[in-house]
Amino acid sequence: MIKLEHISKNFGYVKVFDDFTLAFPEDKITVILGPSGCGKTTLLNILAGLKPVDQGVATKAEHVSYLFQEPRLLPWLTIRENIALVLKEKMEPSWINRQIRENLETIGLSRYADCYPSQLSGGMRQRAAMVRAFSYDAPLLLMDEPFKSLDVKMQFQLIRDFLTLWQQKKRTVITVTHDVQEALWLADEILVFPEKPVKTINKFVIGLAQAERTQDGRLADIEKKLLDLLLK
Amino acid sequence: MKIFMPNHKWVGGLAVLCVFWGWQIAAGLIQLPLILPTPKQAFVQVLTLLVTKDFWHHLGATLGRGMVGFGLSLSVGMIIGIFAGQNATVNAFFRPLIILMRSTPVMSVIILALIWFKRETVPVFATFLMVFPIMVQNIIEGIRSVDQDLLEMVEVFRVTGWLRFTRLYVPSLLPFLAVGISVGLGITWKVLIAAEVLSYPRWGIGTQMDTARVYLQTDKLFAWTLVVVAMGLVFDYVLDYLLKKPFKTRKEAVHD
Repeated sequence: MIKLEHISKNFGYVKVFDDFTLAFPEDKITVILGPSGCGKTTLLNILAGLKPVDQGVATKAEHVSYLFQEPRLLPWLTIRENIALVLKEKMEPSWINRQIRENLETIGLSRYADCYPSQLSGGMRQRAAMVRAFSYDAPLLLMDEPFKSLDVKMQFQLIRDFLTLWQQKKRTVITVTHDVQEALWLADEILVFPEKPVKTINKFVIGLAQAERTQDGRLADIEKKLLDLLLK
Repeated sequence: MKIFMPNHKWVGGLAVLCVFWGWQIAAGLIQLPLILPTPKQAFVQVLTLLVTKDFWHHLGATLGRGMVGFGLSLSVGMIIGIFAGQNATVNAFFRPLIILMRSTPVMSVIILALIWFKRETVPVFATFLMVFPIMVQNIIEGIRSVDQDLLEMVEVFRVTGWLRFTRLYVPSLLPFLAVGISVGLGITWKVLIAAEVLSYPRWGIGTQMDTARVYLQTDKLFAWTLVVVAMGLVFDYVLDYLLKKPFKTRKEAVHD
């Protein structure tokens, strides 16, 4: 189980986390909502093992997969080679090939497997990065605003593809965003971060499966509460 | 409608033609082959040289020295450049040395080398000392140009060692390496011939040039110069071909 117990983290004189405790439910999607500079990215860096905590205990996963805001594909490798790169020397070649083929197939990307990133549109590139993130065998997937700067339709399609992959390869997902709509589409749990320093948070648990969240206003009251908190 | 596009290869050819034309006119006006032979005389001399057995020996000796000097600069430059590009302390150590090497006059190096080494080694040493700083600087730049976002990505996904080096660093380095090699090779031939003229090795184009000067065989001097220029051009073309090839496999864009 991924958890943070009584952690504190400072950047110079700025206190980002102060005696903060939080546990993330296994194989669920936790969305962290909050204003810019509230310590969302710091939290991801701590969980990814890129930054240490000053005090307290962070129980992390042994391996961590990551979906960035940008696709971050190597421009000189094809989509297939890009995905294979993070698996090489860790897995059997036959396993790698099958994994890549199946995951590309799942979101209809198979025919672009041998294309270079520059030959694909932005949305396609991010899909490829998504396949890479899910092909990498890790119990935890961290995401840093992966659906930002896309138009609403594209954002919806990418989230739909993301959920398809996630249904097949369930794992704990922790994602940060400031987009309320995105949070409502994705989350099992929404955490609203306050201004710094983060000590306590507001938690919303959504009991509805992601696939059943149509636009019939069933999440309207949660949406209103989220907006109230963010606009406060 | 067809738009007129100048063929740039053709324009380049015209420039070369202009140089020969000017040379021809100047030689015609001077009328003294001892001062300035005509292009024809120079080319006839090249042909005369080509059929001698010694020509290939001289050419081979110069080529060999060039390759050794350049190869040393490239390999040592790679090793030091890769470390200095990643580590600020290593860079701080080598930086003054590189600046020192870069600002030392070629002639100081050659003359000192004449005192220290055998005559066969002097051109190689001088070439290394002149070309190495160029290689190292380009490789440091290349290593520093590696995209920080991509570096973070391979860090998170634990792509390490050889795989990280060959898939991330080498391709990022390639354009810088191409510039380094191209500039470095150009300087190699210049320094090499200068060093050979002064150190006078038994076999070598520089030696032949100085001999031609002593006997006032100006046409021969021109002929050897043409040979060196041709050699440089051949290397440039081969290099161009080799470095562009890996990028030519990219197909046309396909969008969804």
